[in-house]
Amino acid sequence: MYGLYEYAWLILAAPLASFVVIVFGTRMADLWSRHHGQTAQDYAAYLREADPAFAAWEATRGAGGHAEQQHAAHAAGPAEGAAHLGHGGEAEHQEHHGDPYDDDPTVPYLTPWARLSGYVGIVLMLFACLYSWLLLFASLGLLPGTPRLPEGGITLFSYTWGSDVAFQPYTIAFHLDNLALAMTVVVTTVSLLVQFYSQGYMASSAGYARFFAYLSLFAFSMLTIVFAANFLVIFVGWELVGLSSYLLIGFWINKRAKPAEERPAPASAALQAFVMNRIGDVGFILGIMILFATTGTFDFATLAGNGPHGVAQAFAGNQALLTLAMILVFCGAIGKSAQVPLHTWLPSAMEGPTPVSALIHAATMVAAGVYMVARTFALFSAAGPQAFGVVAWIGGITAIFAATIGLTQTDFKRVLAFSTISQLGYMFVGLGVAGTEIGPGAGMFHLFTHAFFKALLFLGAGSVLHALHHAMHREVQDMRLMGGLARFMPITAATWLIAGLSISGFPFLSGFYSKETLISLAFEHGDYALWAITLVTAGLTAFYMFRAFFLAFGGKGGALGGIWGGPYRGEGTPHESPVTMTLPLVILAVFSIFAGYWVGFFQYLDPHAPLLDLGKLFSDGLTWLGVALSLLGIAWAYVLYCAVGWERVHKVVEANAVLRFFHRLLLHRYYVDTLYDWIVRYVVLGLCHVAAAFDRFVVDGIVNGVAGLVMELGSGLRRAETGKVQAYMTVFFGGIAVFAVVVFVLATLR
Amino acid sequence: MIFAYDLTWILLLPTLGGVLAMVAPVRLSRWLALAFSAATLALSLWIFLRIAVATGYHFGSVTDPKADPASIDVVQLPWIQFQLGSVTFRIDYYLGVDGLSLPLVILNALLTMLAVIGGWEKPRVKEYMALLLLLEAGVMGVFMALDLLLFFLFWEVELAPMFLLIGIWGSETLKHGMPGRIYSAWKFLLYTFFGSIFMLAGILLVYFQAGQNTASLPVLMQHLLPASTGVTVPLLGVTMGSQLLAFLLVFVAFAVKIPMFPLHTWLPDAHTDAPTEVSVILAGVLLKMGAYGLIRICLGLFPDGLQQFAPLLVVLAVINILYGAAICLVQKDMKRLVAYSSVSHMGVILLGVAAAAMAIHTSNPDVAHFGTAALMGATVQMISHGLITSLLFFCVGVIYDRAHTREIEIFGGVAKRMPLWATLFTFAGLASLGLPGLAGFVAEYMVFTSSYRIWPVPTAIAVFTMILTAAYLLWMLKRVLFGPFNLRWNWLPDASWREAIPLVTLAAFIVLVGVYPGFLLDVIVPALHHLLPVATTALGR
Repeated sequence: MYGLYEYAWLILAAPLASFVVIVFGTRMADLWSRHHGQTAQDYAAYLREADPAFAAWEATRGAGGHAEQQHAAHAAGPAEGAAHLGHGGEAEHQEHHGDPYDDDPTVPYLTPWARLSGYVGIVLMLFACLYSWLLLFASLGLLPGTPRLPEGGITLFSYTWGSDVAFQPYTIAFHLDNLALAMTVVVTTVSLLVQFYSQGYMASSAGYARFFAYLSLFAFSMLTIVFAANFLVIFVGWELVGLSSYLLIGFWINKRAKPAEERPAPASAALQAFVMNRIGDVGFILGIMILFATTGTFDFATLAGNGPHGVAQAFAGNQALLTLAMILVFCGAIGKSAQVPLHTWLPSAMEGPTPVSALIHAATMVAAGVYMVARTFALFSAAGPQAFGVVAWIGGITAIFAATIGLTQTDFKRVLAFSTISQLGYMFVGLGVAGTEIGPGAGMFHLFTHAFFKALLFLGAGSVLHALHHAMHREVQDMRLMGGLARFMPITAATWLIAGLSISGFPFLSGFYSKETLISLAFEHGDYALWAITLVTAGLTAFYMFRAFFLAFGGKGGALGGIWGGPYRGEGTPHESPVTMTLPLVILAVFSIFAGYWVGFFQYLDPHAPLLDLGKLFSDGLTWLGVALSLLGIAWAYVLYCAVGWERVHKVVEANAVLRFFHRLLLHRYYVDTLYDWIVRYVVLGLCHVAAAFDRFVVDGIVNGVAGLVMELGSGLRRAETGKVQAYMTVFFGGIAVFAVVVFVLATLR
Repeated sequence: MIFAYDLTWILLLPTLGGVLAMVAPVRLSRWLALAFSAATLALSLWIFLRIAVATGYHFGSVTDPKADPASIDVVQLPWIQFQLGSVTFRIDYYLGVDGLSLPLVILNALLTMLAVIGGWEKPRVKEYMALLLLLEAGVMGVFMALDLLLFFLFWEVELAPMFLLIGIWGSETLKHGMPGRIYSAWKFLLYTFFGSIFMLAGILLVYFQAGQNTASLPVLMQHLLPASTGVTVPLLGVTMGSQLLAFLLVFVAFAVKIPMFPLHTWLPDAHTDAPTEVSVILAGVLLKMGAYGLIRICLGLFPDGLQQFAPLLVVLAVINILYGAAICLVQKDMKRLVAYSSVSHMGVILLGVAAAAMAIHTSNPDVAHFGTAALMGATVQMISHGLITSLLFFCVGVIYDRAHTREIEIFGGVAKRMPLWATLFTFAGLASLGLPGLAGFVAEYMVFTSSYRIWPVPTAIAVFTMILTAAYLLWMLKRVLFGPFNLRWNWLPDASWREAIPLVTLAAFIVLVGVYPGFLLDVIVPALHHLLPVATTALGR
């Protein structure tokens, strides 16, 4: 009966299949088809041939470079001591060996195997995407002959870790319902577009095949979260997306930090992202542990049900513990969705390739926290009001906190990163204030629309960076070196403008519906403080988005009063990106406009929820207050960056002590990164050094001390070694006698 | 006839292989070693398959007298028997494998074979191979012995080859005024002997107190020492339950081997000074001897003693887990880091056992389930830690063979030149930090989630190791593999085919256990049910 739905596991299997095929098949072939030396000498010879930088380096220091020379070289090498965890390590920028090797290795052309890797990923993802859209239409009742999904959803497949009854909770189970399907559509669609786009963006990277493997792995992990039927599986997916994020942030493995731009090395950023997520995950698993110890199950449906294993019965009379558990579970979301105070990894994550930022660090993975709260909405509802209170307030604080930082950032991608953090905060506000009658719809709706326009913003930014890289032959992300790009790349600029308007809540674009609904919900439910925060944040959002737009694409003196084009502050001549990159932009622009018109979204997720009431939305004065604030933000950005020009604004800010103070504070992201850096370096590593010293000098010291004592005694006893057999035999039989006595004593004890 | 039993051949094949490798010409000896280690592996797999097929994947428990004879493999022959006044001494040649020991036997066979491949180009290769195989035989005996005195014998047999392997092929770096290999070999030997003395005393205590005139484990498990009636310890004058006393004596040996804080300091030294393959065996199987003994003997023979000790054990487990992880974070040597990570990961086993110990006499079926899951997690951790840490040590060995250093800070961006090795090293690191889909996650997730029911506060504290583990492993990987490339290493060739074989094999097993742990859990669980007897009855089995 649900035949069509029951094959939904194919959506999950498709990206896994492409990962396996690429890693063990086409990527191997890709590497194989390039030369690989077997010995050091072969390899050096090959490098001399293939890599001018190596030859040059070898010439400067004499042939070879073998073990004997290394220690000498090491002595003159980097300052080792300063190395530390996390971001922007000094150790990295003090090392100056190997300058020609800074960037990702590029190839003049892609091997057929590399291209094939891309095609495998894209074709399988296209299948997953089409299939998920088909299921979405079916579940909306638009497909004749196929029923809608039942309210509780269907189980796709499951197996337990062990057949014993004690292991029944440890079940790997996948489950499909409307919530999962809505998220699946987002994930597969954005994944497909990003993979398609990457064909152009990554065209000259030596790691092309590897990139597509990682993207496929990510899609698989993300869909694991989406289809998860219990806390075990969602935790598995949770960690696996962390892995793909780690691999993709650190994709350019050898790139160094750029301290002048406060940009960490990708490897450091990846490490930071994983470890910070793990901090949240400890909370997550503690919450899971409390739920499991009390109810004996991980299963979402059982937990939410009224049975003896449901939270309602199991936690009866102990709601405070359930509240604590749910707040701990939410800690996982704080980490994954980069909410305050675990937000610092997301701006660093921008060191990954831009398509990755679009897919993982904007549209899908970071929204996993929102999805998880939506998935466990019933459990949050069963907990005390403090649980949702924490969700809403963390979201609200993050929204305005990140928005203020976004006001001053000059790095194109970093503005978008803070915008993502801020918008994720909105989603949590939506989940936290909605209450049971609306359900997770409000937060999920913003997730749904945001995925499209934020992916568009990032891919557009990627298009700009790609063009500037070709124009200036170096990596440029600073908006102060852009300007007037709308003239050179009109498609990118136009689609970016649509996305910018959409995120600012411009009327009748998708962001308008999801965001204004959210803000008015906060008001209706009496959370006036949160309402005020979200309203102000809306204005700030519009300002910084258009600040970015005018700095990059417009400028004083451009067409339409500086909106379209203007003076270009960089070098060379940028060109519009190839069609592989612009086509996804256009498709996403369509979604950014129309995604908000799915008025039945709340009901789709929760049949008891009301329809999105457009009439009420349009007639409500508060809606238009929000719109007015957004327009004010856009207008103010126009005044500052088109009419006045950023140089003069900058001078004014620098001249005024108060403005300068706030500018510094925001530019350095409230110095939270600095604080964390300090804590890691001096507190955490300090404690670890204490532990290591204790181990070495106390625990092992006692052992060595005892050993030393025995040696001293031994050298005294050496005199007993007379060499006389009689003496030895005496001791020998004496020992046996003592042993016999011991045995005798023990034997009589019984 | 003793040679008619396949368990005898599990002991004899590596012994014979060792002797042959020693006497054969060098050309032949490594192939002989490979052949005999492969034969041992094949035989252990054959036993596994035979039981699986004969019983439809229902493995039994050797300590359960009612177990289906087809579901286990046992050999019991009289060996030493004499009368001394009123005292009868009796040691049986009593070996057996079941769901608990068979995976460890297979693990030992597998790792030894991979170690033979890994050590292919060692200097003095004949002796090296011979000692590796003799070591294998000794460890096999420990995992199979069902007579406590025979167990003790094998426990000591394993020491000699290990002592020589570290002492001859170890590193020359000076430690406390002598070459590191000498210092560490002695440290290893003396530490283990120190524990062994207590174990022997404990075994003798059980032997004479139980009055069964046998040290057979299954028999003694039917005649447990009294838990409540006290024994006054000579010299100390302390009165305690004789089960607790015997437990403490035997446990000292296992605690050294596991190793448990504060008896762990031999491990980092032994690992840093041992050659790669020896580290692999040391971490992969020798540490498991302690954990195996803890589960098989302490839980089987002294359930009440263990339960009385559990509150202290859980504290030591948490110290092991967090303290080991914290020390890892500031290590400068890759191998030392992996060694301390073993301390941390073995703590998880202690935590699981401590939780299971509290579930022994429970009448609450829920608690029984949690106890079973915790003990299962601890057992799986034995296997997964064996696989993962071996992989890590093999990986470190690959770079050490080329660069002759393991200092983390010297490297940088090496992944550029060694992509295959870097991939596998990263994989090993991720497995060790408990990434889902890989073996470590199954064990740790089971232990943490189920121990929480029994020991909420200690488990909640121990979980913070997730952060530290991720930090020290990924930080190490970052400094060695990623980041700006250090041109000093431009000449490094990638891992060769021979080096890649152990790495890929272990990686495959790690994925298998991680994705479908059922095949392992179903093997082990009957043996555990026999160890948690009340849990079984509570389930109505």
